[in-house]
Amino acid sequence: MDLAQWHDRLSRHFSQLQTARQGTSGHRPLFALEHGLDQSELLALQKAVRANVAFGPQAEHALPWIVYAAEVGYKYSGDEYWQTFEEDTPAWATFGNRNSIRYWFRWFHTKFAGAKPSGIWANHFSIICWPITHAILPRDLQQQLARILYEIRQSFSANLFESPATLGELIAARSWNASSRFQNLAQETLLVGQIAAALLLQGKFGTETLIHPATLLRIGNDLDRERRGREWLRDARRTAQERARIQGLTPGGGTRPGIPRRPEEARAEVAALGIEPRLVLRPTDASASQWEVRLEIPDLSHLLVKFPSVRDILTGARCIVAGAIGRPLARGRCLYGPQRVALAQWPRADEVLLKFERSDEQLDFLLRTECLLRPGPNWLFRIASDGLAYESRSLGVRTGERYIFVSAAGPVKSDARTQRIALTCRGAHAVLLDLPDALTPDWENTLRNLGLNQARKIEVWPAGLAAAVWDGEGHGEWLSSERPCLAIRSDHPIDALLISMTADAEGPLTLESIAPGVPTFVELPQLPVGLHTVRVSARQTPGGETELLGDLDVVMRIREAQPWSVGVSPHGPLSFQIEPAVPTLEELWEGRVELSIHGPARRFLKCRVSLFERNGEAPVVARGLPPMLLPLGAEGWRTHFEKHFREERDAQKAYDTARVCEIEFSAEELGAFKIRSEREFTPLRWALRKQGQAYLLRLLEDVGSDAELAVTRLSFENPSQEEVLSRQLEYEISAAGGLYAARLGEFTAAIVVPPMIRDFSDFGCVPRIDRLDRSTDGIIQLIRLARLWSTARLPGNFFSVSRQRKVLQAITFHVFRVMGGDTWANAELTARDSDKQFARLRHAVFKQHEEAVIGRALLTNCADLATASHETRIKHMATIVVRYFALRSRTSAGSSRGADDPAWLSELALRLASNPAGVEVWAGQQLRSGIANLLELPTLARAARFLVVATDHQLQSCTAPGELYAGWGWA
Amino acid sequence: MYSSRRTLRGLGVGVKNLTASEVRAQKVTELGLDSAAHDLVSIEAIAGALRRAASFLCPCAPSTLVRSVVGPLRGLVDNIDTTKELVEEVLESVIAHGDIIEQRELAEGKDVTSSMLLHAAPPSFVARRSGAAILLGTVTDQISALTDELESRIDYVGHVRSLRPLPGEELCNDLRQLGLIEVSYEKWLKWPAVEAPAIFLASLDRLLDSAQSSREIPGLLLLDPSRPVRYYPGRWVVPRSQTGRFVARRSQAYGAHLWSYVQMQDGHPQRMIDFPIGNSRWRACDEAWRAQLAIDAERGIPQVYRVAGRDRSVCVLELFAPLPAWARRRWGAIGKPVAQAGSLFAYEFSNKELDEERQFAREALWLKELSATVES
Repeated sequence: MDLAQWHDRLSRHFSQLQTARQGTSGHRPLFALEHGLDQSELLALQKAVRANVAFGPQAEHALPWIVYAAEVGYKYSGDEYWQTFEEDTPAWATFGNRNSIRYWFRWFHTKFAGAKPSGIWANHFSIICWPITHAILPRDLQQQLARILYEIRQSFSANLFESPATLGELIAARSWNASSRFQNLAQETLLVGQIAAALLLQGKFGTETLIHPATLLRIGNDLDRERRGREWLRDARRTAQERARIQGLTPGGGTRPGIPRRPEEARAEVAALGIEPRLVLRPTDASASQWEVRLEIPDLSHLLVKFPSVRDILTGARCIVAGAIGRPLARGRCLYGPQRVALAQWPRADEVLLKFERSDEQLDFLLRTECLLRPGPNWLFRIASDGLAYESRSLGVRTGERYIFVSAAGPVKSDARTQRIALTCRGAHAVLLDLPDALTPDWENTLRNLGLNQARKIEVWPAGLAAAVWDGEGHGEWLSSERPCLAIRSDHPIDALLISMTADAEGPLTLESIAPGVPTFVELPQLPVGLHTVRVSARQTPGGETELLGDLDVVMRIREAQPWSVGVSPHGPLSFQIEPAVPTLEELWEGRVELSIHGPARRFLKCRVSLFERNGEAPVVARGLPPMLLPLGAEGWRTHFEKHFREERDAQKAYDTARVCEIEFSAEELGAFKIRSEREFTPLRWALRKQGQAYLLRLLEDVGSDAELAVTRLSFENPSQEEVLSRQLEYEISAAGGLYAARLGEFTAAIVVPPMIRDFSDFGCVPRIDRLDRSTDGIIQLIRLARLWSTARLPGNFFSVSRQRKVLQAITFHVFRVMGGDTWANAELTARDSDKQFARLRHAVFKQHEEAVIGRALLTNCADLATASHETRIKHMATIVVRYFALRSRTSAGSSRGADDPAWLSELALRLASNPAGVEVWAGQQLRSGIANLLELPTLARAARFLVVATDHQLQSCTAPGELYAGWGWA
Repeated sequence: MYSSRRTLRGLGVGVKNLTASEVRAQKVTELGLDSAAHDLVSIEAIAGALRRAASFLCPCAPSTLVRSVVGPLRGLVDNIDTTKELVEEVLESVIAHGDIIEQRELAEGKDVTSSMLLHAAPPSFVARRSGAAILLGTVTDQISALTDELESRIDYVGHVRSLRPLPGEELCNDLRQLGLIEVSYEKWLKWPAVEAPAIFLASLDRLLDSAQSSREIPGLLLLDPSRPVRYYPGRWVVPRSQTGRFVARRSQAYGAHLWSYVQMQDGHPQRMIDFPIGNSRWRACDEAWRAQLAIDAERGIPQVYRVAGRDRSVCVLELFAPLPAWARRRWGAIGKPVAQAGSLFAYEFSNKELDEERQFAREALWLKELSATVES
């Protein structure tokens, strides 16, 4: 069959498929992978396409070509799409035309209602987004989808399957820790929802038209190849089909039941999520005279499923816990299970307990709703048999129990029945109460004075097995898979117990002849996720008249069971924190990952690092690192990785062409986990490889834009001079190396290629920056140059790092030569020679005699400031600004800081003096006015530079990754 | 999940009154056990309830887990205090087995003086030569990390869970694929090198000799070697006028007991070293119990065990005092834990294993065998 015949056949097939799909409700696009060809037919089509390449792609063969392209997409695994395409298609590089592929996919979209890629990813990768989208679910993403479907299976409902887009949103929300490629796919919520519904319901319940049956079977079979994926999908399918069966699938576009519409609905939704933190007191000495206040923060990952829009903040911003000391919780940490944080200060009544470094209206609402202390100023904690004191929701006490009464309204008046205790937390006072079995009048008086009362006479507790959470008083949490049982006991004779649930149509359950002190057991039905209230009423009928003795409401939060994923758990003996949560290969290699691992002291942790060029293939380098002792801090990890892997020649060589790095950690029975990093996937990027002694650079371009491509080179010696290069397929790099930059529309890709080191003379390099005007534009130009050098990709070779650093230091030095003058610059150069010369540097800070005090003030505090936080340094610098430059803040309290705000200007000066590359992003719109202000205050600029250089000197230039000067890393 | 406060109408069931035995049976089923074969206070069910509680509550003190399991049994058992003791014993078995791990609290900024807490071990397995697997660890909100089909095949014997492969099935490979961690049989069962009790004690004594002087230690209890070896709880005494070297323990504000080896003079501590010593991988109590085994052996009144014949092919090894985890793991793997009245815990073995286990008890634990007719 020739290509024209293939085209005709496929045209008939897609027309029929389109007709069948048009008969269904909602927008259900076609995909090129739904070609309906069996394996032998597909091979024949591919053979025919390859045989036709030399004639150039032709419009009358569009359908075989797009099927061919989609098939390449199906086996695509994150490496270079066009490289794979070219390898599979001899002569494509000569005769092929990428634009025609995009053109035909667009035609397919118009003619057959084919899928149209959308989202940021589709905008950036404007050509390959088509074949990859039409591949439906590339093989290497299948396992990830199966895992996510398994994880969200308890959220399935018949309604959800009616709306593939809503299902897609749910999947996107849960994909926060999936690979970046999966996250790209998940942006296409309709597509992903359609695939997921088809995979789950397997053509039943009205899903037969979602995906062509043969294509669905093929994806299902590929998923089945790996045991874990098969099991995940099987369990997810079983749940999905059970849930779909409850109502059946009704036609229609579906609703979005996950988004509450009214404030009261939103409040109920939030309460049902169980994100309310809980206070627990823990004794710190055996005599229980001092107690630590701990805040238990629940797993916030439930929020992601319900409110997908808060994902960026939960994964990308650190969490500040009110009253806690130390660093904020790492980004994403609240998504890895419950956290316990010791408080040093009792939170204020109106203080939101959890606050993220970035703000979002919806998240702020959620946190304001659920993350506050219970109304004070008094709180009651019951001491349980395990020795911990758990917060009670009421101020009711029971005889025979022990309590801690906490007040934020000043010292608690104690008497003979209360024992004053200390809290390791300022702002609150506490006494301990050990209640007797029967209350005396003195005790009643004490309780009354404290505002406490006796709890109700009916007691309720989970029967048989513990609830996931139970506060001992009537609030608890169960799993949706359980049938909760409650035990109910009255301490006095009653005629009957009436037990009812919210909106129970069957009326209350009445239990008569209740003996005092004897528990009665009730079983509740399997409840849907959400909040439910069980009302327990005691009834007595004295003289034939019914009298209600009182009610007790048991509030039950039903939640989904958390899925198990391979790796460590917050309940286990091994834990790790990593920031960012899913680091790229570049971040991992360059030490820009904060990884700390906690575990039993003195136990060893094994570590194996593997670099892969392609998914599913053997690693190009795999190395077992020497075991590390637990616990391991971020610096310890960085040093270990650098010493035992990054500095190895074979690792450096392999890194340049590697796409994926896997690091496996294991500590025998304590646990194991794996970190997987993929190379950053940008539409314009450089690929570097070594051929013999020379480096070869290839530009990979997936932008598909008509804009003109510009390629330039900047040498290490003249790092501000751009040499324009002609467009080539591959660049052979000279021994001198340098920075290679490619610009296409809004995209820039840069790489620092190391020099060839042949003898000792090649080690030396003195970058020279051309003189620029002392103007705002001139400084901004230097800042942008620093940014280009700073964000350039670094190959494995160590010299690319050291040369980049030299260039960046030279640019920074030059910025301050321009701002601070030649005298300052010469003094800074001289100061590098000896400690004695360094001591004189402060004299160069000022030019007028009255400014000498600034230099003294800085030098006096230099040692302290070297180890101080940025906040302290900025405050110190701002004090100088206010004191010596008579600059006052013109901004009102609460408003954003302006370019003439002393603290802001101080921070700008310090950032510019320590890391000019990051200044533009930080300063935003205020950069220009801020630089102009600094140019007017050169003494401030010199003072800032002095502090940076002096701190670096003090810390012996021991820089951490990402730092140009020791002690000056900016988050 | 989208409709909280959803009406119960249409679910077809409402609130039901249950008897205590119905509650027990239902909860046994929720633990994945056969309610016809196990009661809620069977070792199997208590171990399951402890693993379940650990998956919610860890890291926590042993008392928190015990409270969480015992509290819901109020009204369902005759004697809650006896049940609590049973739960504590089963917890010790579960920890010794490796489902729950005792270690210092993992907390940022806290040093090695932080509390000794329990942590839930990750889902893992120990492969036997037979192809069977001993399951370890817990999973939050789930009975196991296994598929439903594998989960239904778990064999529960006491606190031990195991799986046997079906013909042609590569069970251990399947478990690895599911993401369970494989713990090597040798490492899991590793025990200290065999040595004479005197040599072991001499090494402890040398460490104690070089320890700094100790002040009074609040809450200290001593294991009194002069008390009968067959009644372990009765051997714990408050310091009065004792002189000598003792295994001791003291309570933490919150967490497991702290164990030590202490030199007493007229009832006052002079020197003390804390267990575990150095880079030991064993728990503090494991080392303390081994020290006590050595002390008793050196005094000529060793701790004891008894072998009771059950039939021609199997026998039961009965123990009367706690033993280090490595000994219990070995016997749990070679035999199976059984309930035996009159002993603290017991294991059933094939008679073929008996000679080797007698040798192990004698050489590694310095235990003496009681003849079946001797009573004390």
